[in-house]
Amino acid sequence: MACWRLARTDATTSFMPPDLDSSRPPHPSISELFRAFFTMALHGFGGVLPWARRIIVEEKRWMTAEEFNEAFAVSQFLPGANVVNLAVIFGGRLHGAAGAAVALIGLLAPPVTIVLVLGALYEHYGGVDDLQRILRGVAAAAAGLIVAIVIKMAKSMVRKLSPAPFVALAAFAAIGIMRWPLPWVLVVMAPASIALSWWQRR
Amino acid sequence: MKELDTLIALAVQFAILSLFAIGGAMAVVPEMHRQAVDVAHWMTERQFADLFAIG
Repeated sequence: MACWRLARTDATTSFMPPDLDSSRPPHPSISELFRAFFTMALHGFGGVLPWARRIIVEEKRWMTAEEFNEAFAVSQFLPGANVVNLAVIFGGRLHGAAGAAVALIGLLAPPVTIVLVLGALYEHYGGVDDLQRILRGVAAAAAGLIVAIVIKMAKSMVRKLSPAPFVALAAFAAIGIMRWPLPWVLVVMAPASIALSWWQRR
Repeated sequence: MKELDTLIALAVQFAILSLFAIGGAMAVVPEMHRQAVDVAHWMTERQFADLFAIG
Protein backbone atom coordinates (compact mmCIF):
# COMPACT_ATOMS: atom_id res chain seq x y z
CA MET A 1 0.00 0.00 0.00
CA ALA A 2 2.66 2.44 1.09
CA CYS A 3 4.89 1.81 -1.87
CA TRP A 4 1.97 1.98 -4.27
CA ARG A 5 1.16 5.39 -2.87
CA LEU A 6 4.76 6.53 -3.27
CA ALA A 7 4.81 5.47 -6.90
CA ARG A 8 1.55 7.25 -7.50
CA THR A 9 2.84 10.48 -6.01
CA ASP A 10 5.92 10.29 -8.18
CA ALA A 11 3.89 9.74 -11.29
CA THR A 12 1.61 12.64 -10.47
CA THR A 13 4.38 15.10 -9.85
CA SER A 14 6.55 14.06 -12.79
CA PHE A 15 4.46 13.50 -15.87
CA MET A 16 0.83 12.58 -15.24
CA PRO A 17 -1.89 15.22 -15.26
CA PRO A 18 -3.59 15.12 -11.84
CA ASP A 19 -7.16 14.85 -13.14
CA LEU A 20 -6.36 11.78 -15.22
CA ASP A 21 -4.77 10.24 -12.14
CA SER A 22 -7.77 10.86 -9.88
CA SER A 23 -10.17 9.41 -12.45
CA ARG A 24 -8.46 6.05 -12.05
CA PRO A 25 -9.34 4.84 -8.55
CA PRO A 26 -7.12 2.20 -6.94
CA HIS A 27 -8.51 -1.28 -6.51
CA PRO A 28 -8.22 -2.58 -2.93
CA SER A 29 -7.86 -6.30 -2.30
CA ILE A 30 -10.50 -8.27 -0.40
CA SER A 31 -8.44 -8.30 2.79
CA GLU A 32 -7.83 -4.55 2.56
CA LEU A 33 -11.56 -4.09 2.20
CA PHE A 34 -12.19 -6.16 5.33
CA ARG A 35 -9.57 -4.29 7.35
CA ALA A 36 -10.91 -0.90 6.30
CA PHE A 37 -14.47 -1.67 7.39
CA PHE A 38 -13.27 -3.37 10.58
CA THR A 39 -11.30 -0.23 11.46
CA MET A 40 -14.30 1.98 10.74
CA ALA A 41 -16.50 -0.06 13.04
CA LEU A 42 -13.90 0.07 15.85
CA HIS A 43 -13.58 3.86 15.62
CA GLY A 44 -17.18 4.66 14.99
CA PHE A 45 -18.84 4.65 18.39
CA GLY A 46 -22.04 6.63 18.00
CA GLY A 47 -21.65 6.97 14.24
CA VAL A 48 -19.58 5.18 11.63
CA LEU A 49 -20.42 7.50 8.76
CA PRO A 50 -17.78 10.21 9.41
CA TRP A 51 -15.17 7.46 9.68
CA ALA A 52 -16.40 5.73 6.54
CA ARG A 53 -16.00 8.98 4.61
CA ARG A 54 -12.61 9.66 6.13
CA ILE A 55 -11.19 6.23 5.37
CA ILE A 56 -12.79 5.61 1.96
CA VAL A 57 -12.46 9.11 0.51
CA GLU A 58 -9.60 10.85 2.30
CA GLU A 59 -7.23 8.13 3.48
CA LYS A 60 -7.54 5.36 0.89
CA ARG A 61 -9.01 7.40 -1.95
CA TRP A 62 -11.11 4.47 -3.11
CA MET A 63 -13.90 6.87 -4.00
CA THR A 64 -14.17 10.55 -4.79
CA ALA A 65 -16.34 12.69 -2.52
CA GLU A 66 -19.05 12.77 -5.19
CA GLU A 67 -19.06 9.00 -5.62
CA PHE A 68 -19.27 8.59 -1.86
CA ASN A 69 -22.21 10.99 -1.59
CA GLU A 70 -23.99 9.21 -4.38
CA ALA A 71 -23.47 5.77 -2.81
CA PHE A 72 -24.62 7.14 0.55
CA ALA A 73 -27.74 8.68 -0.97
CA VAL A 74 -28.67 5.26 -2.33
CA SER A 75 -27.99 3.69 1.10
CA GLN A 76 -30.26 6.20 2.78
CA PHE A 77 -33.05 5.54 0.40
CA LEU A 78 -32.86 1.75 0.84
CA PRO A 79 -34.35 0.12 3.94
CA GLY A 80 -32.00 -0.93 6.72
CA ALA A 81 -29.16 0.81 8.53
CA ASN A 82 -27.46 3.34 6.23
CA VAL A 83 -23.84 2.41 6.86
CA VAL A 84 -24.61 -1.30 6.50
CA ASN A 85 -26.15 -0.58 3.10
CA LEU A 86 -23.13 1.51 2.19
CA ALA A 87 -20.77 -1.36 3.06
CA VAL A 88 -22.75 -3.78 0.88
CA ILE A 89 -22.90 -1.35 -2.05
CA PHE A 90 -19.24 -0.42 -1.83
CA GLY A 91 -17.96 -3.96 -1.30
CA GLY A 92 -20.19 -5.23 -4.07
CA ARG A 93 -18.95 -2.63 -6.50
CA LEU A 94 -15.33 -3.64 -5.94
CA HIS A 95 -15.52 -7.42 -5.59
CA GLY A 96 -19.08 -8.54 -6.26
CA ALA A 97 -20.88 -10.73 -3.74
CA ALA A 98 -17.65 -11.67 -1.94
CA GLY A 99 -16.71 -8.02 -1.54
CA ALA A 100 -20.14 -7.16 -0.18
CA ALA A 101 -19.98 -10.04 2.32
CA VAL A 102 -16.47 -9.14 3.48
CA ALA A 103 -17.27 -5.44 3.95
CA LEU A 104 -20.45 -6.34 5.83
CA ILE A 105 -18.71 -8.82 8.15
CA GLY A 106 -15.87 -6.38 8.76
CA LEU A 107 -18.33 -3.64 9.67
CA LEU A 108 -20.52 -5.79 11.92
CA ALA A 109 -17.99 -8.02 13.67
CA PRO A 110 -16.68 -5.48 16.25
CA PRO A 111 -20.04 -4.07 17.44
CA VAL A 112 -21.73 -7.49 17.44
CA THR A 113 -18.92 -8.91 19.58
CA ILE A 114 -18.99 -5.96 21.97
CA VAL A 115 -22.77 -6.00 22.33
CA LEU A 116 -22.81 -9.78 22.88
CA VAL A 117 -20.23 -9.42 25.65
CA LEU A 118 -22.16 -6.56 27.24
CA GLY A 119 -25.38 -8.56 26.95
CA ALA A 120 -23.77 -11.55 28.67
CA LEU A 121 -22.46 -9.27 31.43
CA TYR A 122 -25.94 -7.79 31.85
CA GLU A 123 -27.37 -11.30 32.10
CA HIS A 124 -25.01 -12.01 35.02
CA TYR A 125 -24.83 -8.69 36.82
CA GLY A 126 -28.04 -6.97 35.67
CA GLY A 127 -29.59 -7.42 39.08
CA VAL A 128 -26.79 -5.66 40.98
CA ASP A 129 -28.11 -2.47 42.60
CA ASP A 130 -25.27 -0.16 41.60
CA LEU A 131 -25.40 -1.29 37.98
CA GLN A 132 -29.17 -0.75 37.99
CA ARG A 133 -28.64 2.84 39.10
CA ILE A 134 -25.98 3.44 36.46
CA LEU A 135 -28.14 2.01 33.69
CA ARG A 136 -31.09 4.09 34.83
CA GLY A 137 -28.92 7.19 34.48
CA VAL A 138 -27.61 6.21 31.05
CA ALA A 139 -31.12 5.41 29.80
CA ALA A 140 -32.34 8.79 31.00
CA ALA A 141 -29.46 10.51 29.20
CA ALA A 142 -30.17 8.57 25.99
CA ALA A 143 -33.85 9.53 26.18
CA GLY A 144 -32.79 13.15 26.72
CA LEU A 145 -30.64 13.04 23.58
CA ILE A 146 -33.59 11.82 21.55
CA VAL A 147 -35.79 14.61 22.93
CA ALA A 148 -33.07 17.11 21.97
CA ILE A 149 -32.99 15.80 18.39
CA VAL A 150 -36.78 16.00 18.21
CA ILE A 151 -36.74 19.64 19.36
CA LYS A 152 -34.04 20.51 16.81
CA MET A 153 -35.99 18.89 13.97
CA ALA A 154 -39.28 20.43 15.14
CA LYS A 155 -37.78 23.93 15.10
CA SER A 156 -36.88 23.74 11.43
CA MET A 157 -40.31 22.33 10.61
CA VAL A 158 -42.27 25.06 12.35
CA ARG A 159 -40.31 27.89 10.76
CA LYS A 160 -41.85 27.42 7.35
CA LEU A 161 -45.57 26.89 6.99
CA SER A 162 -46.18 23.28 5.99
CA PRO A 163 -48.21 20.22 6.92
CA ALA A 164 -45.09 18.68 8.49
CA PRO A 165 -45.96 19.48 12.15
CA PHE A 166 -49.36 17.85 11.73
CA VAL A 167 -47.82 14.75 10.18
CA ALA A 168 -45.36 14.62 13.09
CA LEU A 169 -48.15 14.98 15.66
CA ALA A 170 -50.28 12.35 13.94
CA ALA A 171 -47.32 9.93 13.87
CA PHE A 172 -46.66 10.58 17.55
CA ALA A 173 -50.30 9.99 18.46
CA ALA A 174 -50.44 6.76 16.44
CA ILE A 175 -47.18 5.27 17.75
CA GLY A 176 -46.73 6.89 21.16
CA ILE A 177 -50.31 7.08 22.42
CA MET A 178 -52.36 4.55 20.45
CA ARG A 179 -49.40 2.13 20.22
CA TRP A 180 -50.40 0.99 16.77
CA PRO A 181 -47.97 -1.25 14.84
CA LEU A 182 -45.37 0.73 12.89
CA PRO A 183 -45.90 -1.00 9.50
CA TRP A 184 -49.59 -0.02 9.38
CA VAL A 185 -48.91 3.50 10.54
CA LEU A 186 -46.27 3.87 7.81
CA VAL A 187 -48.48 2.39 5.11
CA VAL A 188 -51.12 5.02 5.87
CA MET A 189 -48.94 7.99 6.76
CA ALA A 190 -46.22 7.81 4.11
CA PRO A 191 -48.57 8.22 1.11
CA ALA A 192 -50.64 10.77 3.05
CA SER A 193 -47.64 12.95 3.84
CA ILE A 194 -46.30 12.70 0.28
CA ALA A 195 -49.72 13.72 -1.04
CA LEU A 196 -49.90 16.62 1.43
CA SER A 197 -46.52 18.03 0.46
CA TRP A 198 -47.28 17.59 -3.25
CA TRP A 199 -50.59 19.38 -2.80
CA GLN A 200 -48.94 22.18 -0.84
CA ARG A 201 -46.25 22.72 -3.46
CA ARG A 202 -48.72 23.25 -6.27
CA MET B 1 -38.98 -26.63 20.43
CA LYS B 2 -40.46 -23.56 22.08
CA GLU B 3 -36.97 -22.07 22.13
CA LEU B 4 -36.70 -22.49 18.38
CA ASP B 5 -40.11 -20.91 17.84
CA THR B 6 -39.02 -17.88 19.82
CA LEU B 7 -35.81 -17.59 17.80
CA ILE B 8 -37.71 -17.77 14.52
CA ALA B 9 -40.23 -15.19 15.74
CA LEU B 10 -37.34 -12.92 16.74
CA ALA B 11 -35.67 -13.24 13.35
CA VAL B 12 -38.92 -12.56 11.49
CA GLN B 13 -39.79 -9.56 13.66
CA PHE B 14 -36.38 -7.95 13.22
CA ALA B 15 -36.31 -8.65 9.50
CA ILE B 16 -39.60 -6.76 9.23
CA LEU B 17 -38.22 -3.96 11.43
CA SER B 18 -35.17 -3.53 9.23
CA LEU B 19 -37.40 -3.09 6.19
CA PHE B 20 -39.07 -0.16 7.92
CA ALA B 21 -35.84 1.41 9.14
CA ILE B 22 -35.68 3.81 6.22
CA GLY B 23 -33.68 6.85 7.26
CA GLY B 24 -32.30 5.38 10.48
CA ALA B 25 -32.53 2.65 13.10
CA MET B 26 -33.76 5.01 15.83
CA ALA B 27 -37.14 5.19 14.11
CA VAL B 28 -37.88 1.54 14.86
CA VAL B 29 -37.06 1.57 18.58
CA PRO B 30 -40.71 2.26 19.57
CA GLU B 31 -41.85 -0.66 17.40
CA MET B 32 -39.13 -2.85 18.91
CA HIS B 33 -40.41 -1.90 22.35
CA ARG B 34 -44.00 -2.62 21.39
CA GLN B 35 -43.09 -6.05 20.06
CA ALA B 36 -40.63 -7.11 22.76
CA VAL B 37 -42.47 -5.75 25.80
CA ASP B 38 -46.16 -5.36 24.97
CA VAL B 39 -46.88 -8.09 22.42
CA ALA B 40 -44.42 -10.97 22.79
CA HIS B 41 -43.42 -10.34 26.44
CA TRP B 42 -39.80 -11.17 25.64
CA MET B 43 -38.64 -8.72 28.30
CA THR B 44 -39.92 -6.33 30.92
CA GLU B 45 -40.16 -2.56 30.59
CA ARG B 46 -37.12 -2.24 32.86
CA GLN B 47 -35.00 -4.72 30.90
CA PHE B 48 -35.78 -2.89 27.67
CA ALA B 49 -34.68 0.42 29.17
CA ASP B 50 -31.50 -1.21 30.54
CA LEU B 51 -30.59 -2.75 27.19
CA PHE B 52 -31.39 0.49 25.39
CA ALA B 53 -28.92 2.19 27.72
CA ILE B 54 -26.24 -0.46 27.01
CA GLY B 55 -26.74 -0.36 23.26
